[in-house]
Amino acid sequence: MTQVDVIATMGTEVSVDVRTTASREVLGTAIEAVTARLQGIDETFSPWRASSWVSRLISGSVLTTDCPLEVQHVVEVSMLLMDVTDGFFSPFWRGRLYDDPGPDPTGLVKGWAAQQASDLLVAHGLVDHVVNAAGDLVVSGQSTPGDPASMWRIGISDPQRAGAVAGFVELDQTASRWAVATSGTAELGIHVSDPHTGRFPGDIASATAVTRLDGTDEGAAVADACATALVAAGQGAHSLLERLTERGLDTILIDRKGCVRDPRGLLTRELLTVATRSL
Amino acid sequence: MSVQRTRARRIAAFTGMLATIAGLVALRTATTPPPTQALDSPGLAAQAGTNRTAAGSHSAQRSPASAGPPPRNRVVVGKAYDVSYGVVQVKVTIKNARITDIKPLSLPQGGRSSDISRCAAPQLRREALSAQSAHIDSVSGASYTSAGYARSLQSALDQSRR
Repeated sequence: MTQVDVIATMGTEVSVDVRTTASREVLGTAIEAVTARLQGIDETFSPWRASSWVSRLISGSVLTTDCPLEVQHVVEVSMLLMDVTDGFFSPFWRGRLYDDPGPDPTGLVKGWAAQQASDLLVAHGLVDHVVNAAGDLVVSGQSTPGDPASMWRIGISDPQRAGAVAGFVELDQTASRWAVATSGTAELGIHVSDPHTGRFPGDIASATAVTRLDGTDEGAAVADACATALVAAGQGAHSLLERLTERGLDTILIDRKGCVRDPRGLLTRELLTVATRSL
Repeated sequence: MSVQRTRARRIAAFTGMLATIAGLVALRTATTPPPTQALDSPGLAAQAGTNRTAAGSHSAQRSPASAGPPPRNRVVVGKAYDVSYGVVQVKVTIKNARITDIKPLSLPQGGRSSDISRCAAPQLRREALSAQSAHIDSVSGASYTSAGYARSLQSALDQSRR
C-alpha cells in the first residue's frame, strides 16, 4: 500500500509517500503534524516573508543571537558547510549580490526540512517513507515493507531534458535513512551564484549529493548544501568534488554538455523506454 | 557570538561525520529489468492500488479476440492544482490497470512559465510513463511545475481506484 500526500508549503510542494501500513487515523495525524511543522519552518525561515526571522536576519535588523535556538542552529550548520565546501556554499551569498549584511541559511533549508518531516513520520511509527521537498529528498526504511532486500530507486532529473530523468540511484538497507539532493539548471535555469564572485557559472548543469542519515542530525542539510556548492563552483566543481569525496561524500556531476562524473558509479543510466506498447 | 565560539569544535565533529559516510551504496548495476519485464511489472498504477494481475497480458490489449478479461479503459481527469506560477491539471488514460497516456489539460501560461510549459509538457508525459516502466520511487531534482504535475497525476490515480 502507498499513500501519497502533497503539502503545498515553502513556495513549492512537499510530497510525503508513506509505505508503512497504518490506519487512516494514524496517517492523518502524522500528515497533520508534518504539515504544521513545514508551515512553521516556512514562517520562520522564508526569505520571502518580510516578518520571518530569516528575513530580519538578512536585513541586519536582528543578530543571530537574537533569533530562536532553531534558527541559530541552522545558521551554525550553514557556517560549517561554508567551511566544508571551501565557501562555495555560503550563507553570505546575498552580500555579494544584494549588499545584504546578514546571513541567509535558506540554501539548505529544503533538505533540512525534509529530514525534519521524516523525523516526525518515524516518531509516528511510519518508518517506511520518502519525503520529497521539491527534489531534495529523504528516504526511510523499506520501499516495500517486509522485504529487507527492497531498494529505493531514485530518479535523477536530466538537466538537458526538463522533466525527464538522466538515470537512477539505488539506495539499499545498509542505512536506515538516506538523503538525496540535486541542484542545477533542470527546472529553474542558471540560478546558483558563486559566493566568491557573485557570478552565475553555467558549467555544471546538475550536481547530486547522497548521504546516509544514520547517526547524523543534519545529513540532508549536508547533501543539499554540497549539491548547491558543486553547481556554484563551476569550473572548480571537479576539484571540490575530489575534496568532498575524500571526506566521504558521494556525488554525481552532469556538466552542460551532458558528460557525467560519477566517482562511485552510483548512477544507472538505463535507456528509459516509454511504455508505449499498449498505446 | 556563540556561533563563532563553537565553530572549530563543530567543524571537527562534522568532518568526522562526513568521513563516516564512506563506502556508500552497495552498487547494483545488473538489476535493471529488461524492457519487457519492466512493462509487465507493477509501476505507478499498481502502486496506486489498481489491479496488478490485469496488467500482465499485452496480447489481450492488442487483440480483443484473445482470451482473458476485456480491456478496461478509463480516462480520469486529475484535480487542477495552483503551483504559484499557474494551474496544472492532467488527464490520464488507464487501460488494464496501466497508465497508457497522460495529457496536460492546463499548464502555466505567460512569461517564462509559458516557455517552460511549452517544452516541458511532452517531456513530463514521458517522465511519468518512464517512471512507471522503471519503478522509480521518487525523483531528485524536479520541482515547481513537476510537483504540481505529479500531484494532479496522483489525484487522477486516486480517482481511478474508486
